[in-house]
Amino acid sequence: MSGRSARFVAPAAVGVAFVLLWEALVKAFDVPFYLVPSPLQVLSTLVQDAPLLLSSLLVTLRITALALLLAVVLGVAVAFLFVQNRVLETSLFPYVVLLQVTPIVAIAPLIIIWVKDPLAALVICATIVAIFPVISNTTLGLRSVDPGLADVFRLYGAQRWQTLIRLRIPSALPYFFAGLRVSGGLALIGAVVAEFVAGTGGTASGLAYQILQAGLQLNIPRLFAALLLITLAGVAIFLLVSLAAHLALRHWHESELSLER
Amino acid sequence: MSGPGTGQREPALLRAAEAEPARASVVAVDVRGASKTYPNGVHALAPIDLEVCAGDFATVLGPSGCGKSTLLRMIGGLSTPTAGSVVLWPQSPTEATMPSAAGEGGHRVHIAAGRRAKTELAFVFQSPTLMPWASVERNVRLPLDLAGEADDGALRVEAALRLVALSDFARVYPRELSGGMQMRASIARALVTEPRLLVMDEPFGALDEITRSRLDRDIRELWARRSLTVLFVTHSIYEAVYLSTRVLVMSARPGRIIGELAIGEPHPRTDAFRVSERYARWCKQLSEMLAAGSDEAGGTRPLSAS
Repeated sequence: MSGRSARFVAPAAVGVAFVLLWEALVKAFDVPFYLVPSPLQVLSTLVQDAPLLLSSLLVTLRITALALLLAVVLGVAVAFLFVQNRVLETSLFPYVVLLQVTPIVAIAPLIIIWVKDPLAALVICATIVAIFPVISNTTLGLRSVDPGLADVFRLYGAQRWQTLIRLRIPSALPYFFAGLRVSGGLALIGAVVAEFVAGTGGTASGLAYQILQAGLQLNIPRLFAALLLITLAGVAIFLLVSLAAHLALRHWHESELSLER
Repeated sequence: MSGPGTGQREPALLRAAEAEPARASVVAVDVRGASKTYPNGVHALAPIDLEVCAGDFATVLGPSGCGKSTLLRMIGGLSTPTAGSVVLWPQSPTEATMPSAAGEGGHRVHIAAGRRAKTELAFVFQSPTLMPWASVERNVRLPLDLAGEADDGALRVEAALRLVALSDFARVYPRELSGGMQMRASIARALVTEPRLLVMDEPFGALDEITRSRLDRDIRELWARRSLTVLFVTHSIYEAVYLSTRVLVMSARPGRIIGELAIGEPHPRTDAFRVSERYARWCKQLSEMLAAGSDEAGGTRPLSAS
């Protein structure tokens, strides 16, 4: 088996083995469906409740995508500001860290109260969760310029903007994508957590809301089906970001070269 | 196979005057009392006087850490002398000046920035310093792009790549090239601006011996063909003798020039020269100068082979 095939076949084999074991254990111990449904039950619920669950998935994905987009735009802008001015970075970075360490569950109710539009409130919550890796990694990347190349640019009298566009931004791309991989997952987590908080008020109908409702109704197969969709959405986001990173870096950066070989 | 002067007993400097490409007495680099002390207190360079004339292939030779690169960075405008001055092409009306770090009146250093100044100096670093995300062609084109000189850019890039025999590799990425080819691309990037002065900071130090010899020969041919002025840094005595018209020997830190040797050998210098008795003599002489420099502190001593 080639290395390329192994990258896909090996994890798929682990997944299949896990599902088979799950099915076998549920059958063997006769576990009731309201405690742990079998994979087949989860699948059949997914098909049966598809219209409801898919519309909820779209709501959650919309919040996640908007939050990720906002995190990228704002995060990159803040990173650019930080790189232009050390004083600015020193003054503001502690507050960026504050955003990162404050539990979103604690501030989500406030945001939901302050922002009238529920979608906007959820997007803000998810953005707060997702933005830190973008800021942190992009700032680091913009600063991690090869000193030799920086000398070349200085020697040929490069303007500040030329250095930014032709040197700093390309140098920062691998760092940016590393941050984006983390942020993609965090945006989804932020969206789900915010939905949970808002969902208790009955204002949203994303997947988190479906999980809450299913839990209250002891509809555990639907709960598992919604969970499965969230997990698959997370994997899809990761794969999309990885694909973007691969397309941007495949010709030159070590992190992507192994895929080419 | 060796040069026309091989085996003859002529005064070294006379042989040099006859054999080397015609040298105008135009000063390309004028370093006066330039010294460098870093903010952490490291005294990298004692006050240095150095003059490189147009057409010279001048090599600065010294032990590791003696301040050779610091000297070159000051000449390239990448570092400011703590005292003294560095001026490029002092007779040129486009000469750029600014105060030294010490702010003393009359001290001048060259400013690297500025369109005119850019074409007067090109720098080849110890490592190829290529942008890994750009093709060889785009790397070579960089100085032209930065200067906004795009009109005949494609032609100049093509010519520069041809000079270093990389025409077939214009579209590949640096990682697809060998170390030697990457260094050639770096040299092409320096040549694309058609500089009057080429400054090279130990460019082949990380390469294997065979590649290094080949690039030494190539750069020597380029120097002769393009009537370049080259200021080269190395810690290899053998490379210095093969390449140079003049070798300036530096002492250990704080670096200062303790001797100068005119290598009076004709051009072209063939591979046979590198195994000749004369070559060995030049190397021995340089080696003795280096050893003396590490033992004692002396002034600049112009010497020649005899």
